[in-house]
Amino acid sequence: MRQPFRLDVHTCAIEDVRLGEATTVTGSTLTIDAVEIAGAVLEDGRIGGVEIEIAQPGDDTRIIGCLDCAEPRTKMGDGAVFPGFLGGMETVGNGETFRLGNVSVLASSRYPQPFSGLLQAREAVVDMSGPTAIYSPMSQVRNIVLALTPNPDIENDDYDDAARRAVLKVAELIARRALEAEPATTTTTFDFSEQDPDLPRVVYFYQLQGQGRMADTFLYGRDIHNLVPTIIDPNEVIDGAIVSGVYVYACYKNPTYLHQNNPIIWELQRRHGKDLNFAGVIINRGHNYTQEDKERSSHWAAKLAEFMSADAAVLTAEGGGNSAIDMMLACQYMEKAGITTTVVSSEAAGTDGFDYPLFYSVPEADAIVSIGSEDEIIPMPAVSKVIGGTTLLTGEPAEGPFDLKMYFHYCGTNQLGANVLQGRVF
Amino acid sequence: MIEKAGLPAAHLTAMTAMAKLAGANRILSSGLIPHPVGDPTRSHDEEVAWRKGQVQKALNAVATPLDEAMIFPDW
Amino acid sequence: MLRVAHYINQFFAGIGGEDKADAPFEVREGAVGPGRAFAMEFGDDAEIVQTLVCGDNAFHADPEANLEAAVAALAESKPDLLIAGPAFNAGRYGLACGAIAAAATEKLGIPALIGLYPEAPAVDVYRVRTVMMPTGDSAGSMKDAVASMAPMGLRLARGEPLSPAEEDGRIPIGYRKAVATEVPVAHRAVEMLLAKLKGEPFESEISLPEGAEPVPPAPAVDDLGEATIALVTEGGLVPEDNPDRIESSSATKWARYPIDMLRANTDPAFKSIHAGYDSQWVDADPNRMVPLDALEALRAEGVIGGIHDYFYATTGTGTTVTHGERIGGEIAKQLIADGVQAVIVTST
Repeated sequence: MRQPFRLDVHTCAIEDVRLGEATTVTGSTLTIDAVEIAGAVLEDGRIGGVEIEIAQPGDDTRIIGCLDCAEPRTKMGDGAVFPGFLGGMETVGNGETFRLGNVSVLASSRYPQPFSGLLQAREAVVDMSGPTAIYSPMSQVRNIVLALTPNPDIENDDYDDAARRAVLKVAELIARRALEAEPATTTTTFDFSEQDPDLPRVVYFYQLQGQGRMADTFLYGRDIHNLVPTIIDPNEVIDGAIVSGVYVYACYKNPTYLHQNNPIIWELQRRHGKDLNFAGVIINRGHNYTQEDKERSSHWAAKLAEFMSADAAVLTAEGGGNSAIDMMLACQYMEKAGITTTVVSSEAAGTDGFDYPLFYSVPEADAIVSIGSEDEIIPMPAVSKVIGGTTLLTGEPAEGPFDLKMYFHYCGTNQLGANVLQGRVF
Repeated sequence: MIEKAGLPAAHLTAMTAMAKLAGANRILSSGLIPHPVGDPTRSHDEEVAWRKGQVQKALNAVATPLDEAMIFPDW
Repeated sequence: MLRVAHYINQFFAGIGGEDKADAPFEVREGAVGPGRAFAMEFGDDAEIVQTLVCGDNAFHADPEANLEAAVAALAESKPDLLIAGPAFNAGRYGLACGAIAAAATEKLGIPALIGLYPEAPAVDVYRVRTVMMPTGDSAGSMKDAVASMAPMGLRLARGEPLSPAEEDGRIPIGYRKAVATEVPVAHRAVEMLLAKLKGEPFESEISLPEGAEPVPPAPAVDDLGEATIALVTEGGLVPEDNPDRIESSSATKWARYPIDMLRANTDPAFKSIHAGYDSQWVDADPNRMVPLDALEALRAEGVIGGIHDYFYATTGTGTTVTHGERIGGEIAKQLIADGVQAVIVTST
């Protein structure tokens, strides 16, 4: 299969973020003009108010009510990052992209109306320092937090759209302003057109959550409810084709930031031409609603991997038991087609850890990487500063101390492998 | 556990593979995950008639002698 | 200096062999027998302040009285740690070590450590109740056993947390817990993939389940027309105020509600509290989870004899296998007691 994309990613690695008079970069310091950023956010009348806060690694700060986050990126020359949301509708993954490394724009907010049922935005917490920082990968990043308040008259779905667009818009704006300062950058080239016939061909099976409102992922601006498994170039993912709208259980969330910086894709890129050929990405909808749909989807994904002459595949998912079935079936049918697999999986071993850790498994899934359990209860220490409100959704004071189930740790068990956790037998 | 105790139990679910893994014996594919015996796309009367059909299949399953676990074919 | 108590049997206390196995429980000051080897190994970090001794037969002749005496002695000496054994592959001695170690921890909060051969009978009995280090199968490996137990014992005495069993070199307790790791997930995933591709050894970080024991199918209903049918769901359908406080996930409870109450479906109406699926359709019409209207129509037609007076509900998301099996067993017992002939289960 031809892989015609070539993307040069120019990284300006940021080592400090401050509020200041103008949005710009000096050396490795990013300055944010809060007035300019707030103005951009409030152009959308669905948002009632915004506070701009900075939360950096090591700060004695807790962020609550986290929604999506994205890394500041902008295209150099034509085109837009996050097509379908910003700029015209087109594909990305070619040309030159500028990024601010180690920085995220993170929205924090409550929704205007109360929720009921499964599909609702639940608590999502990041601790920026201390022993609990390991439970969110976003503690390792300099977060520019948009602490939003809704216009009270609008519906949750509408507000959700506004909050998502605010993150993407601000991320692009900050990158554009930084680029105007012409900072020093390092360049990573994503080009998989050369494939070494002596190295194995590895595809990435990338399952996205598409369960319904508050649990959706967007591909070029559209939800994926009707997606059949589709081939996409890794460069499109890197360049903003996938945007997250998943808030049901914070620990499983793969936010836009982690789609842009998907650790599996960056690892396969790093090893391309050395240990393996990165032969492409298959995206799949998780949370198919019936056994038949799951069978259809997983057989289809295995078939695409065969089309791509894959020797091997890495599989990841997003979400709990329902999505695990989709991924495990894909693993099974790939293995049956002679494609060697490894699976990245979270665990559900119960609060005491004594239960069997997988929701669902197939005998072919004999190579599993663990990223920890959704069920552990983590004691959260008191902190001196909280961003995003004063109380948790449970009503407890957010400054702590309190106990917080892993479910509510932002990206705590994300299956893209951005966290540092590993489930072990004690 | 109900079958283990000696009572025949028909299991209506969209997730038949999961039911099999969990050790159910009389498994029938039905509905969608959020409504195994509902179909909101039909009119109320049609939905009740469809549900009656699903329950009838479940009753047939508890009246069927089995040697081992089985996902009943959907006909 | 940390203070350590030690439990040994009549043989290691120098009283005698099998012929002295009925030697009664006693408490001695300081180190005895293998305790001296531990004291050497501890150096200046810890001392053996007390040795509890009991004959193997004597202990099991009246375990409760002996445990009570051991707990009383430990309550008095208040050690930072109890070491029991090592008992190697011994049956009675190992079980006595396990019982005393578990009692020290559970009754007095004293951390405890046993040395056992991994296949010794006491391992499976006490692994979740005390910490164990593996030893050889006989006293010939005493030196190695003391060398591996002493540092683990000092860590426990200092109140240090356990590391994963593999890193501690312990016999696993068996629970799983997340730890921070230096090696990124993506790196581990690709390394494992390449090893598997090349046919090199690799270790899955989660092992696959041992096949669930197949349940022999229950006998079929002979005559549906005479049978009473019960409805059971894991879909979390409960009266809207959830009077039994069934958990919306990781359930430990079940409840049954009168079928008449479900038919009325008003004051209270029935709602799903299940946190694993979108319940809007079931909330609008509970028959979509518990098909009462359809079953009543079939009863009216004479297809079945009757409908059981109650339906049964729990929540099946994040529910552990242990609780799931208990809940299923309790429901089954109740259904049989109530004379039900068959069951229709609905699940999400």
